[in-house]
Amino acid sequence: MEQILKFLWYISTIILVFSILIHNPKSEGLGTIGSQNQFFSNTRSTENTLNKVTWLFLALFLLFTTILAIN
Amino acid sequence: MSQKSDLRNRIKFTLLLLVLARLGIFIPVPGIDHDAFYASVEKNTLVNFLNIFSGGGFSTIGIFALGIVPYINSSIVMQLLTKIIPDLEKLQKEEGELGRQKITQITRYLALGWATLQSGAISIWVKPYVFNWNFTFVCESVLALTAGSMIIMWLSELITEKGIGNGASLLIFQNIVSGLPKNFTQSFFDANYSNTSIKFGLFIVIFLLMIIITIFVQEGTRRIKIISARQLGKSSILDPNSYLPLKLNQGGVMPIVFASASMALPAYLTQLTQNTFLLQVLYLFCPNGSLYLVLYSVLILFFSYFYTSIVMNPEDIATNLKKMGASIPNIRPGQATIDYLQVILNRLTFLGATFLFTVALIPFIIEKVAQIQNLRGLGATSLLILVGVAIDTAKQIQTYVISKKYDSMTK
Repeated sequence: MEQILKFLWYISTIILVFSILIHNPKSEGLGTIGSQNQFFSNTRSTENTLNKVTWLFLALFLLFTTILAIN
Repeated sequence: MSQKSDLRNRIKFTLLLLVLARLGIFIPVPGIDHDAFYASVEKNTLVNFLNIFSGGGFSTIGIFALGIVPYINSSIVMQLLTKIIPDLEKLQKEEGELGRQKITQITRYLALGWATLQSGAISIWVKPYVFNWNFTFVCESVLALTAGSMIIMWLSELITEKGIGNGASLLIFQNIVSGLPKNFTQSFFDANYSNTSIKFGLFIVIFLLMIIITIFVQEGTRRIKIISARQLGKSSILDPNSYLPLKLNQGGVMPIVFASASMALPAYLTQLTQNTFLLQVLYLFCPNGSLYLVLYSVLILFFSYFYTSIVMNPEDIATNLKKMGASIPNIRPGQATIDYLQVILNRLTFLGATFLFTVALIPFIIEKVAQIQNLRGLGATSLLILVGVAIDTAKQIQTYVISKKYDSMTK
């Protein structure tokens, strides 16, 4: 059981990091603070799907980590 | 009506993400004896310093222990690199939106690398407190901490994009605020201190004073009168309403955030080296060292100038003025205007940075005079960030409301 959980944890974590990295944020990070364009963002549909996937794996990651920590 | 609820949704979204970011600090990385670790690092200056940015997550080694730090550090590195490497500068200046997105993307990869390195260092560092220390443990904690840091980065981007305010600075804000109660109790309710109430009163007064000074510094602008072709015919008197605002502190909080993040570097390095000479040199720059303040002031100055050069480019302003058919009275358009603006910007930035540093210095002096301990972690760094972020966010909300009003007007 523990092994399976560990395995799932690894998978979800790696996918999570990967899915966060392939995001292409409109916001320009810390670099150019105060740029006026941030309110004119139009989210593309791929970005939407990606967001959902990321949220899913984020939840899984948190869940698995918590369970592993309790054990 | 709809714009109001839209704003409300943005604020709700932001708060939700902040709560989530806070929650992750308390989910521990598996396999570590957290109680023993916590007890041993409580008095460690480095850990306390790092806790400022991660909201206490560092001493509990939660999965969000690294927090936003890797992202900030890689932003600093990238900002510096864009000035050094011509290709990157070209990306930032000439390729417009797409180029900047590319730079953001590189920054994120760099953040991943940084997070991996840092979490690797942590997983080796906590070795004495681990139940079963082996290669698997290192792999797992590196993975967990790196993922945590990436999540925080993503959350900060989400806040910037879909919430309100700047995500990264809001997260730092929240972490500092969450450390405040602990800081207060440590400073004032320790059994060793006498005259607690007087000191507390003094502290409150100074605290308020610092906030006021900080607000003045952050809000101060130099207004350069401009005159446009349209006005010329109407009257010979300058319209007092048309001016070019140049802020005293162009970079806002960013110089302070960057400077204080860089200040953690010497403290880090002391953990890595065993060489006594190197250690002695490095300790000079640690929070209790004699050169700490000097380095801090130099960094604030450096990042202020650096930021001003990024945010405000005199050449661009001059070109824009020309396009608008406006000019500064008594200054020729073109090169003369550029030079004039550059001189003013340089002076403003120097003044602004000096002010910032003076405010940062106050807690140190107070500490010496009133012998209050532990004020440092709160004072110098945090207060400036707190005030700056609060002002920034309030402004962004205002801007948002106004821009929504314009939108509904044109519809």
